[in-house]
Amino acid sequence: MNTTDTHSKPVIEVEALSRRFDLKLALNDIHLTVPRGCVFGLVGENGAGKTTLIKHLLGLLKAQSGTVRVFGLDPVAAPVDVLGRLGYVSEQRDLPGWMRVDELLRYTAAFYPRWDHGYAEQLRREFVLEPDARIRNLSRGELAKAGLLVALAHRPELLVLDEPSSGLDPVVRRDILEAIIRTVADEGRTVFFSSHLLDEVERVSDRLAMMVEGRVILSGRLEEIRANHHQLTLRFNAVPIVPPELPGVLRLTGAGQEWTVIANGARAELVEAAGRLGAKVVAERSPSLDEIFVARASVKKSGAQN
Amino acid sequence: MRTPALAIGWSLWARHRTANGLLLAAIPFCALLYRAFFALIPERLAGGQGFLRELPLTLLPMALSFIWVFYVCGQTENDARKGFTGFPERLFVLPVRTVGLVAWHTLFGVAAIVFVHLAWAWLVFRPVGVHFEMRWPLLLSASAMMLFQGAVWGLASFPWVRTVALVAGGLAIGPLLVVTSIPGFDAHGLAPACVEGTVAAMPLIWVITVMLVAAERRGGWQPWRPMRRFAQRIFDRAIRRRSSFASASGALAWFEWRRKGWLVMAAVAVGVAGAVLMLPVHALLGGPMGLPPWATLLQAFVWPLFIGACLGWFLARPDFSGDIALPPFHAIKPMSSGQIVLIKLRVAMAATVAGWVLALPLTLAITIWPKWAELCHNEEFQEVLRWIRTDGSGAWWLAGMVAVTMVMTWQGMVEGISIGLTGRVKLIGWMTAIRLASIVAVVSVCLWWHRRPELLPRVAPWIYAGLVLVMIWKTAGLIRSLGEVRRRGLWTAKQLRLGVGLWSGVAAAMVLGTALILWKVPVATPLVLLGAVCLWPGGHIAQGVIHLAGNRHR
Amino acid sequence: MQLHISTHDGVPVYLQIVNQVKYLVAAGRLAPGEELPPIRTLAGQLVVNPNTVARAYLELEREGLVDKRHGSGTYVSKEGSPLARRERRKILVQRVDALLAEARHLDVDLGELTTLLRERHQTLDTDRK
Repeated sequence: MNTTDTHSKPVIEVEALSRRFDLKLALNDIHLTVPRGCVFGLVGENGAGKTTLIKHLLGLLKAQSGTVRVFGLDPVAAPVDVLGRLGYVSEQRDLPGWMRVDELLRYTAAFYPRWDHGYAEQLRREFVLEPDARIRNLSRGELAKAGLLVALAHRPELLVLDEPSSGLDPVVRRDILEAIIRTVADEGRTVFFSSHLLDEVERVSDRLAMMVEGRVILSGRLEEIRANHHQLTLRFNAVPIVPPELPGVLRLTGAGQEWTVIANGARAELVEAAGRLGAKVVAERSPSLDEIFVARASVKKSGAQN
Repeated sequence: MRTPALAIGWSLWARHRTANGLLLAAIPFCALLYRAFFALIPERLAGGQGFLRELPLTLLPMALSFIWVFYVCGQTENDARKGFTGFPERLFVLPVRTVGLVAWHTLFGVAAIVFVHLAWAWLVFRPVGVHFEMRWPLLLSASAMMLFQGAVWGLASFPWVRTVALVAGGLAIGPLLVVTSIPGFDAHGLAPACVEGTVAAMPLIWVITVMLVAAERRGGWQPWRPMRRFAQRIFDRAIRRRSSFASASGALAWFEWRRKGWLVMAAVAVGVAGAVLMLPVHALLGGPMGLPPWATLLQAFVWPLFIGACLGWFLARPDFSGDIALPPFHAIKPMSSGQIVLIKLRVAMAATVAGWVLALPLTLAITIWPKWAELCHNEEFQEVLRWIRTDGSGAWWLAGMVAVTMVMTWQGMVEGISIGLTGRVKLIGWMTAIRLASIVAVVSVCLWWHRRPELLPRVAPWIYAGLVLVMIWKTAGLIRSLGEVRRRGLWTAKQLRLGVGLWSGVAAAMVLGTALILWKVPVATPLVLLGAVCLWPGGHIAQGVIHLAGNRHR
Repeated sequence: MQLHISTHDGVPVYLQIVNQVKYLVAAGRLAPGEELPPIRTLAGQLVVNPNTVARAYLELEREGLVDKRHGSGTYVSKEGSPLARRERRKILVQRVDALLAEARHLDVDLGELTTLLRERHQTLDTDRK
């Protein structure tokens, strides 16, 4: 394989992926591209389809329609080639409870030719995992670290994490985020992780996609997404009888004369339209990712009800 | 739900309400079904035990419902991380004394088993003229329930000891229950004495159970802790992996062996030895049921196949999750599905061979035990045994049959693995049900024909035609599966050759086994061929790979 | 160098780094010529994406607050910030507005506030020396 070719190609390419479980449409026409060397955050509420999408990347689910390519390969047709180059930490952290930590490391090492024993030992020390400890006796945090360790020690080109910090205390969350940072700091490595904790996504990711009810509703560079959204507080001359209608508004809250809007797109246009309705901007700030997400998700849902 | 007693009773019923309802429905259904048979073949039923004599498998639903009632009344809950647990911990936080908790469970358990026992005996078997002895068996099933609950709850801290105790108890009490249910039966007064002893011990057993559950409620019996730790240390020293693995295949084989392989080995050994140990019981029952002595001997060879099929299913499933789908821990390892299946087959093979090797000295010890031979009260059967012991050809025949059965035990596992690897509960349920039904049908047909040899010449051509069709169908299945495995690249060319080689080995063993039986056993040729074709290996060896790929990439 | 990142107030992470480094320079806690931590070290310490830190350093360099010396690292520039007057004014106007609003709310008149500003200025000066 040509090295320059693999470096220029995106690590993950998902096109027109749909998936139905019985009656529920879990994934609906997903398009996603993850370039090499970035930290990609996948955000969405529980049940939005994040885990289903991740399982498609690992080949644990077969695409019903559309295509999935990881390193340019189909993970279902070539599982060995794809899986050997990635590390995965599942949300359930399903490690065999009867193994001991050292047995787990030896066992996993056997499957990866590029396993770095020195690095594994260094991580084990950093995570304070006793080699004699049984997996079933580990605490939640230790279990998460053990899962991360076996996903990292072969220095994978792509690290896939499904809700890496759900249900963990802040100390362990920090360890996990640091591991993400460290992975991507190595040239050419990519991290793809899902989370419903938007503050950690905002901290560590440089690209993100938002999922609501099986659809990707927003995808792109974090800074572009941030730059395109505005939160304005408008003060009307008179109390509007119906909630005011403004272009590009995602979410509108307030009552009486003061209303707060979160909007997407051209700010000038919005201000002009507000002016025509007799309102002026009294405060303006850039909304946090959390606020953008809530605004986007509420638009999507009310739209679905109509 | 005003009282704890009602709540406990309700929870026992409601946790498996569908299955419990099915069980309740099965009793009247079987009653009607057996009555219908009774109407069809009245002349065969003369002499009380006629029905059993015709279709001994009619006892199977009763046995299954007994097992189900035991399972329900054990009231344990699977804990994903701790594994199989004892007395449900959630009940310990209720404001009810331990004695009360245990007493209500015992009461409901005993009531349920007595009810089911009586229902089968009175509603199903009595109307068709089969009268069981009731007094001792009822006491015995009630005691068995108490013993079962005591072992499940009291020994919760020692899962392995508990498993051994339950298996041993089941092997002891099951046959005792069968034997004492036969009216007027008295095997040297041994069986009734055993029952009396068991029943007399019940109050003491119950008190111990309450004490153990009370200790469990307070966090486990303290003196057990150091014992546990000591046992753990010994165990660890023996089996802890301290060196790296040479290859990924080696690692997976270690995993399979460490979790399931050695258990499969033990189960094969116990199964084979148990089948031989139970030969006297079959010899005893075979006479009244009108079975030929050869059938008694052959069933000792059939049991391992059956055990093999069950164990294959066990080998297929992942070990540490309630879900039978392939967990991500295995699914994301960079190893091809074809390779994973081959490793499972390899572990199954090692476990089978080791199990048989372990079973041989056990079997030898049993057969030279004078009491065992003495208990084989059947004169014709004694003759068969004499032939094997004294005649040189008998020894060769036995050796050949052992070898063939060993191969077929493995083939049974291959089929079990193939079905289990689908990882889909419904599919496994259906495939197992079809398999069981076909076994029941074939055995019933064989037994029936055995007693009506005059019919055989007339139907033999049809049997042969059917067998040819089945052979064609099975071989076509093999070719189709191999083709699909090759097309999807699940096996490399080398692995394909290995698969075909393994299949040919099994087929050769099957031919040898058929020849051995036809050579010496006085059973009609069409029936032997019928059995042989049923056991003839189909496409399972390749099908397993396709099933695993489907399970892995859903 | 102690920085604190918060993701709740809507200020982009890179801007928080830029602002805090500016503050540290202004307060004298980062002396001219002092080296800033390498990008990867700071990213690990703050648990933020290395690209974000790189962007903040680029922004600081563009504003002339720091110098990037090829192959050795990033240093606080000797000349101090040649930030355009307009830019500086813009930043200060925001702060002064907030200060005045707060003072009005607390019933502090302009004279008192001016005195306070002088006092603080002197204290900061003595601290720097």
